[in-house]
Amino acid sequence: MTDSKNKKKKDEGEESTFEGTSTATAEPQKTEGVLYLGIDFGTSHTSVAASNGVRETISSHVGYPKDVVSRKLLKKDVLFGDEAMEKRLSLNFYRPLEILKTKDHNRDDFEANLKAAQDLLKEIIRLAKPRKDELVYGVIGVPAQASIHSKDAIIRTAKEALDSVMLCSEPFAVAYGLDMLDDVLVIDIGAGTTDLCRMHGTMPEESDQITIYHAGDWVDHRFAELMVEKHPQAQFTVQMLKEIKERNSSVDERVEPALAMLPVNGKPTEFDVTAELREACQGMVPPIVEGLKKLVSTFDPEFQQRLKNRVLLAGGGSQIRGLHLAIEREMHKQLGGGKVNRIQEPVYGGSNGALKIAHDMPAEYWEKLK
Amino acid sequence: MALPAPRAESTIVTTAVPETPTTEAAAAPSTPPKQRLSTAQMLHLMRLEMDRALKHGYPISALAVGLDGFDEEHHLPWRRTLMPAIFQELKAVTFQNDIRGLGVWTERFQLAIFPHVTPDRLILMAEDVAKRAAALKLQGVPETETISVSAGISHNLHPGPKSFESLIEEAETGMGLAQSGGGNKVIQAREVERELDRLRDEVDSQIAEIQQFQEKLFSDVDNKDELWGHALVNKVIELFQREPEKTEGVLRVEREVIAVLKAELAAWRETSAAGRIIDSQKQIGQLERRVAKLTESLGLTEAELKRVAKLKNIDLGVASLYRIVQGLSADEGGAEQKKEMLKNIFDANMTLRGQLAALKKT
Ligand SMILES: Nc1ncnc2c1ncn2[C@@H]1O[C@H](COP(=O)(O)OP(=O)(O)OP(=O)(O)O)[C@@H](O)[C@H]1O
Ligand SMILES: [Mg+2]
Repeated sequence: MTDSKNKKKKDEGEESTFEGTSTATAEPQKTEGVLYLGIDFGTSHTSVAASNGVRETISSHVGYPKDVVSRKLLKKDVLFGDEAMEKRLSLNFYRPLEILKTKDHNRDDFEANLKAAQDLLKEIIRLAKPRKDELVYGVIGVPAQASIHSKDAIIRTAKEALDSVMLCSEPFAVAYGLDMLDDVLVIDIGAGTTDLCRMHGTMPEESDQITIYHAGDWVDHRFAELMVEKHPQAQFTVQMLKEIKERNSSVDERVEPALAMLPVNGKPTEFDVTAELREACQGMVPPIVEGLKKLVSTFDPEFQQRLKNRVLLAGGGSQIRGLHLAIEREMHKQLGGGKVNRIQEPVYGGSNGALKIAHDMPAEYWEKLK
Repeated sequence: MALPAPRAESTIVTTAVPETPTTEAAAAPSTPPKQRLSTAQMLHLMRLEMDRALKHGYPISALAVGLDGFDEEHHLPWRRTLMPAIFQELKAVTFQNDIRGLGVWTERFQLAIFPHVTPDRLILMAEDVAKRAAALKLQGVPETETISVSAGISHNLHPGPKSFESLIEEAETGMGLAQSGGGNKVIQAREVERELDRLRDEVDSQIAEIQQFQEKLFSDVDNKDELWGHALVNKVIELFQREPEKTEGVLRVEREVIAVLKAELAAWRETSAAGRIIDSQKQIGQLERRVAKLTESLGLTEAELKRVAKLKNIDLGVASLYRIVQGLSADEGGAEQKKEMLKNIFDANMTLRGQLAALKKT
């Protein structure tokens, strides 16, 4: 085994010295001068992994200065990511992916959100630093439930910035990136949605996917409700709670308390929010396991056991401490067993996978989707 | 003269702030202490000085000074403290050297012109200003912060076209190049030009080399025009020769393309030496598309570079790591299965495109 591998390596090394002759016949095609991109277009974060080694992530926020004065002050026509978030008061501020995921195109601000999404996509491609003479091919992971209008918008934008583009579903990209294609259940906990997807060796279909709205944003709002209930005197915004969550989130009965400074009548005051935060995070477990149950029970009985033991936890929400264990415990209760693994790079899981797809995709497919 | 002339003994006569917007943000303390003339008035005076210098043929130099770092988004308050202080240093240095100048400061940079001053003298002064700026200790700016400035210098002692605009632009460009080159430097526009000349020479010699190479390569072929390689190389060279005024960025891009061409030619020669004609039309098509894309962006680059070059170095991007092979290799785990999945993704995308096209029609 190792022997043949080594041999292969060696052969490749020799060939590469005179690519010109060898590639005309060899199967893998020579595509010098092509940059591949994997892009994860998420509600909360947009990330790119590129074949030049560049990896970037920005929060999916876009803002345009409200008026001439703010534009002068900000010295930019459009702001992205955390910077847009920071200065949102002087901006027309968008979280465009939130809208793109909905099917409601009659909202007044749909077009504006579309434009923001397009600008965001251009920005993430720019961040990947393509060279001016390189062709750029990209695979974009989009939410499974994105409407055809949204996909249309994404493709149109992408075509402006990319030389060839394909879309694929986000959870699929995650699994492909980890080389787990058979009998795997991916749980991608994002901001707006948690996507559950069953993989069984071919492309997942409609019936292999479940989307639930118990995700990061839901936790933030639940956390806020609990705070109002337990600490009515504390003043906060959901954004503040989200930051507290990201620093302290856990479902463990852990020793170290989560302490937060929140103003009371304008005076910063320390609160112990451990219990509220834990309860909010735990709220996600039952609906997730409910979804898992559906996907497992409708699977080929012979492979149900295997599927249960191959659950992958991905997405920003997978960083909640102890969550995978809590899901396991709940699975034991409801499904009589199960094993959940967290992926190592929650932020780049989707874009890494999309990059691998882009890179593995045969050249002639790319040519056809120019 | 319509406007009051600067007082004869004054060094740098005034400070001014740009049209600061009059909103909540303007409430921040940005009004300089002794504002005598508006920025517009001051710029008008500077322009008059330049006109006079050009008319009478005496030297005039311009200096642009900017802070390194302290980005305007996050460190505006520090900039507002530092810039007037640095301007004071500039005034002091001007006074010490017993010369006269006109200047303005803004949060972004300061600009001054010095009639009758040659660039070599101004360089020394700029270096002095930089030294003094580095030693500044100001309330409100943490001592742990290293202060350094970059400066650009321009002048009218060259044969090229001259105007107030180009004087300022060259100084700003020098400053931008200094900043992007690590900061804490003074760069004279002339130096930038020399660098351009060097690049130009290099590109010229590359072109000559490639032409020779071509000659050798095609010497035994009768109908050269039918050869894509030949035609392509000529097209590219012609395109480049057509660009009259080249900025540094364009030249660098150009050098890159030529290098690409060279490599392609070399690879091609390998095959023709082996007695084969390249049969992969795809590869040719791809190279052509790349060149087309590049030349297209050259047009853009011209306009954009002028602006960008002021602040940043031209970023040519990072080259792809996958320079040689692409596609799933046969010995990869689950290759067959993956191949099928990739085909499914592709098919799904083709279907989607079809749907979108149909959508557009309705
Ligand atoms: N350390 C953390 N603990 C808990 N939650 C976190 C942590 N870090 C990030 N999150 C949450 O993860 C969510 C974002 O995850 P991710 O970036 O995967 O979403 P997305 O892919 O942009 O969204 P979607 O998949 O819904 O489009 C946010 O709700 C964020 O608050
Ligand atoms: Mg996601």
